[in-house]
Amino acid sequence: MESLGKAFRVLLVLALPALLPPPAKAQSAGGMPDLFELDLEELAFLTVTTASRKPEPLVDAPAKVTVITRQQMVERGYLNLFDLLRDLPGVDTHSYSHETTSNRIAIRGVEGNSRFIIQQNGVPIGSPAGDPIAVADNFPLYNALRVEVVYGPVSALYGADAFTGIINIVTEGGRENEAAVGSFLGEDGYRYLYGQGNYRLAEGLRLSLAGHLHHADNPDLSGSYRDTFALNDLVTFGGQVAVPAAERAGYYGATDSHTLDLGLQLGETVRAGFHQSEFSSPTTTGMLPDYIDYGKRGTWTSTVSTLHANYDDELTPTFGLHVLGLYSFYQVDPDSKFNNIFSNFEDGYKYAEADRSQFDLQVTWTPDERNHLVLGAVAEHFTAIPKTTDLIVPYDPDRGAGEQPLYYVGSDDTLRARIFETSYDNFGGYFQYRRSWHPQFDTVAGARYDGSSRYGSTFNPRLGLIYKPTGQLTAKLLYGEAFLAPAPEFTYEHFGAFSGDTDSEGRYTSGFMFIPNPDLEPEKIRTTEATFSWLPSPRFSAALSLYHSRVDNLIMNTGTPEPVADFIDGGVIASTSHNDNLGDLELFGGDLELSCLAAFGSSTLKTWGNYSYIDGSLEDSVRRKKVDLPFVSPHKLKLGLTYRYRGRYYLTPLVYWIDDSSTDVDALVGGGASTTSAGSYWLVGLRAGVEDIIPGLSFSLRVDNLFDQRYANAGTGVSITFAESPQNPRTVLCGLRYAF
Amino acid sequence: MARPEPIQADEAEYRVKAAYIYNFANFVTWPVTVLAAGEPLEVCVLGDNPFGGALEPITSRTVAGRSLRLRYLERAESIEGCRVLFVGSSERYGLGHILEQARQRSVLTVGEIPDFALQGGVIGFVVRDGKVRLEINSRAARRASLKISAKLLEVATIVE
Repeated sequence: MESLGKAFRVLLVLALPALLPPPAKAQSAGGMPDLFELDLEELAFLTVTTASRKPEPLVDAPAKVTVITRQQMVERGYLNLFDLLRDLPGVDTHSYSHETTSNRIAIRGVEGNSRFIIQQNGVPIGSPAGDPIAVADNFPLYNALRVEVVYGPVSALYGADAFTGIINIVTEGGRENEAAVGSFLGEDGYRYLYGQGNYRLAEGLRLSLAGHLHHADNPDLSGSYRDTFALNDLVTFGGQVAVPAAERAGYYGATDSHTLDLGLQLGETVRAGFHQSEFSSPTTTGMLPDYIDYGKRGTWTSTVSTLHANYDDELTPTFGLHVLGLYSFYQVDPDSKFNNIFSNFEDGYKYAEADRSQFDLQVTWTPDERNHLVLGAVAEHFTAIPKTTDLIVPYDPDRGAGEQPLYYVGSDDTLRARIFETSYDNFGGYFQYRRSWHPQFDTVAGARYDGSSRYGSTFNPRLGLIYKPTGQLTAKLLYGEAFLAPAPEFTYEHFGAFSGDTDSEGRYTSGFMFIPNPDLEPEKIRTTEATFSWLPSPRFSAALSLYHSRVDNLIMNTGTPEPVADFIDGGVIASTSHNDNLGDLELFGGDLELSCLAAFGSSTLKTWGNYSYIDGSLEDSVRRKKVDLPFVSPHKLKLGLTYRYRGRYYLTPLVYWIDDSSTDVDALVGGGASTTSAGSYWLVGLRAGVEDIIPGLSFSLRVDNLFDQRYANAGTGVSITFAESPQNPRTVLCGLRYAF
Repeated sequence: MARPEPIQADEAEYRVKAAYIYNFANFVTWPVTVLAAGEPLEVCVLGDNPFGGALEPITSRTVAGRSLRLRYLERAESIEGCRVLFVGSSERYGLGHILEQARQRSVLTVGEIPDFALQGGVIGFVVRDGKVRLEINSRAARRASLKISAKLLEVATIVE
């Protein structure tokens, strides 16, 4: 209690001199707080950044947490969140793997870009209703001070979709009245510009601005993988040549992105902000060249815009109040389109939008240093137009969904395309209680209840034991559950076309359609975990995590029990499929991490590495088939070393060995692909840089795939998509940054 | 004495660091050959000054019977007479040279350059979990013939 008393005393000195009478000892004659009167222990208690005033810093969470610092991001050449995740233990990343999200990320054996939550300064900035989006240059790191990655299910605090983890990009807390501009330029038309600034507009009023623009043609893979990308005639399912080989356009892989970030902070309690991110990539990504037309430049462009306001206040030394109001909007550009064999090599447009209005109220109670209670309530309202079927002209967002002059392909413009709309609410309540029983032993218990008007209720508990036998060793035993809300995109997924023929009753016929399943339920994950971290000195650290997860109700596609032949009035459909909660996934894994530091003369050497092992299977409860974990390598080794000379020059080689990655979903759906995994590969990257060439000016160099190897990541591997998706050859980027 | 303009706006952080520097004089012992009893103790700031005016109050104080002086330096060659030397971030290029100069003169070097103590500085400031923490290179202290009290070592992380 004595130390807590000291903490409160010095906090009062620092933060509340105008409100509360400060201790006489710490008051100078001029009335200003006098820190020179404090002793060493008291100084060590002082909080000097706003970050630690947040209600529940992620690093204090009862979970395995990895924090990547600004310096590490620079030294390792991370441009975006995907780069960062690739180096983390237990994370599988696949580029050129999906036609709309472009890449795929699996955390601890569970793949899915929408199965983890991405935040910026604690505010969610990802897709508002769970539609999968790319995790690429739309989540840049040029203005990140640190990135916190929490592993494991944490729906007990964060609600839906905190399934495999939470990623928080921290940009707040930079120096005032400082700005930076920078660019990256590289081969294959890589152009990236950014700027950022933090300004004090008036006493207690701060403004932050940041944004980037990026375009990349990206490497011409047909030059590096000539046989794989050989251009043959494009032939329709009906056997007609749509585009002769001689007339086909060459490979196209351009990507674009931008972000815009505005933040206002009023005093220590109020902040508001706007964040927008957009990413565009070809819908030919990861698809076999015999089934796509590069010449149509089909792209998928999605934008997420988030507006938020927060109020965080310590009402009394024991009570804290935290309020969040948020509006988030996701939209797929109406010009997004596919052009492939399924659309008869005609343009097939898609559209989707979703928004979420959210209000969070959280109260924290810390009566003493041994007890900490968090109580919260959440209200959310969602509306969505889930991803549409293929449209022959772009969707018009200015008209209502029912007013679109859109018809099914092959219906002679007589059968109007069904565009779905959905609106639903979610109300949640949660608590978390942390108790320190002994300086070496803490427990955490929490739970959250959510009731959704669309998919019913869920209950997610969380338990943790934290044991610190010495100052160097920490052991955590954790159990957590989480749920993935069925995104409107999955619930209402719908595509297909008519043949143009009619049956004897005059109904247009269709061989196949994918239709919605309004009864789709949430996925559920349960994870038990033991983590150990050992920091015998600032020069060496080691960590080991062992975990077991079980996922139930995994959403997969399957044929409907009986064809829903009359799904479209005026048509008849021979067979129908939909999404259903069919998959059960069980896995066991472990991550080992080591890092060490050495200093000699004017040099420092930092080495780090991690090895991840995972074993498990995915079982389809209807088709009774069991396959390897999709998009997950059983063995992953990631190593790096940063040599820094005179604090100014750095050189970082990175080495990866990634074992085979399964794409075995094909075995479940019967796609008939000849290959069901991407082979193992070694990869070496190199980063280098010079800081403060002149004050504030830095140069960086990034070389990926240093030895220009040919290798593949796992693709969808079904039907017209790559199982082994070819990856970039060696690429070189140069960066300049000027801070002023 | 001209005082460079402040370049760091985070006032709270540097007020805390200034208070630490003042406290160091209580918990570090210099060889009597370089700092005789009752002799004033000179605190120097080399290069960029992130403190603004946060260090100024020490000049009106005494510690262990000594008055304190404050001096701002632009060049490492001017460290003669300094007993505590805060090395600004602008000096990281020539850090090895500065530390060697300081070691030969039994100067207590303090800094916030990343890995300052690992690179041979005696006391490094690091901000961790929102608080200012200390890293101490006890070997560097010994080489500079400085004695650091157990009390100071207790609140710090020993990196060497």
